[in-house]
Amino acid sequence: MITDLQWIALAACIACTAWRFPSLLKGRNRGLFWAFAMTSISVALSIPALYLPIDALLGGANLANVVLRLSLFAVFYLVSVKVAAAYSSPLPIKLIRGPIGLSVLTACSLGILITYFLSDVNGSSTGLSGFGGQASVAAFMWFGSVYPAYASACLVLPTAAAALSTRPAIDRAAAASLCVGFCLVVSTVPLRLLSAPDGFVLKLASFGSILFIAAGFAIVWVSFFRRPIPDAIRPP
Amino acid sequence: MTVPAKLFQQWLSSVAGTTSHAAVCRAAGIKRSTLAQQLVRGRVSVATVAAVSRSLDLPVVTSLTVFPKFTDLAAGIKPPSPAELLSQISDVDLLQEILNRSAAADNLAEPIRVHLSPVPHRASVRAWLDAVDSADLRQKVSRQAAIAPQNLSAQISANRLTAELAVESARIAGVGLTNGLVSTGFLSPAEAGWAPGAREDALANTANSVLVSLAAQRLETLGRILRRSEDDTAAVRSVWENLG
Repeated sequence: MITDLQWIALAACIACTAWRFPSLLKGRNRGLFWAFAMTSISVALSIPALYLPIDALLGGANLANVVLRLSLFAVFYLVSVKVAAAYSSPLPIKLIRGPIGLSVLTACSLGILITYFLSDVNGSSTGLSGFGGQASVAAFMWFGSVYPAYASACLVLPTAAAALSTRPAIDRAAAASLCVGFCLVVSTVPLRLLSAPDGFVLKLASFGSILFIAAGFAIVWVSFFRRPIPDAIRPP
Repeated sequence: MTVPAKLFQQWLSSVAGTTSHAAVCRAAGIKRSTLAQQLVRGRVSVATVAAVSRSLDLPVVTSLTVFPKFTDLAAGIKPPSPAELLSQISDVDLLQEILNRSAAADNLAEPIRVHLSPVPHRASVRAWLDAVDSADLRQKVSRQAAIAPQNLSAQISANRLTAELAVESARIAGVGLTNGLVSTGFLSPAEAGWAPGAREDALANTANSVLVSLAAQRLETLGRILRRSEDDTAAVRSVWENLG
């Protein structure tokens, strides 16, 4: 069931990446293309059938997991800056792009690298599930979920406010879907502490959040295509 | 807003005799499946009653008196007050009247009569409620009809009001019971018992001062509504700008 969910999330991310391709060529919000491209890579690296061969190419020392974590950080930075600007919320923008947000991002990235080199992780293992006993591996996983949760926590309120506003229904649906996705990302931190590292609920929340956030973006794009006065949005 | 299907069936057989449902629907311009669904659910919408009455050339108000909640509708017809009549004139028509009067005063001529746009106008429900409101009419209506105040104001903002609420509002305000149904567009002014040309006469008899204050009030309300919708549009555009 989790494997199915992972493949569905991967398909959704690849579809979103393809959807953004024309905009990439036109130069419209290019960051979203790269965000979805990197999300696709991250999701692909969570699936054993894809992780094991790719990690073998990288030397079989689970370097692919480091790639996965760091690309997720980049995704969350790109997406959260965009979403905070979209829902015009000055405080979240400051919390993400300001000194606090950048320190959290740097600390988590350094944490990932340091804990990786401290751990003994020889031999490919998807999600490092084979090394759960090591404290440094637990810390590695923890660092991996803190930055996404921090960035998402900043966006829960602005998206919730937009979902409850008097905007058109489609725009409220998009905000609600994003809000649910961000709440699920935030929930991964307590879930990681409560459940086993390979817990079912944790994976459900992680990949469910990807689906909700991708759906939120897709609804925004549909709303964008149906916008009433195309030329008034942005002067040529 | 609905009436019980059983009563509807009885009324239909009394007015349409043995005419088949299919023929009734065709004449009234309602989908056969819509009526069938309403009958199965046990609740027939008042719009169906009105459409069937009109197709049979029966007065809609008289037809509605067969159903509970509307029994006193025909007896409760009262001519609309000047304020109610003015409330059913659109903002643009009011402004046009002001322009015509001012042009007539400049030329020392009789003002041209404005050709009024048909009812209902875009904010007719809110304008009618404001015209008949003494004090806290909206609270009384929501309490009496057991509807949450925010649901009532959502209907008013969308320029809608169920037939039951329109009649209830008129009852509480002590005005003609059919008048609110004109503001919602459910009844034409003639069906509600309004004299032909009543709106035009009321407008012609309105003093300049009253007309100008009314127009100012309307413009202020319009400005508030426009500001809110522009804020929403700006918010949606910001999303398109950053995520589209």
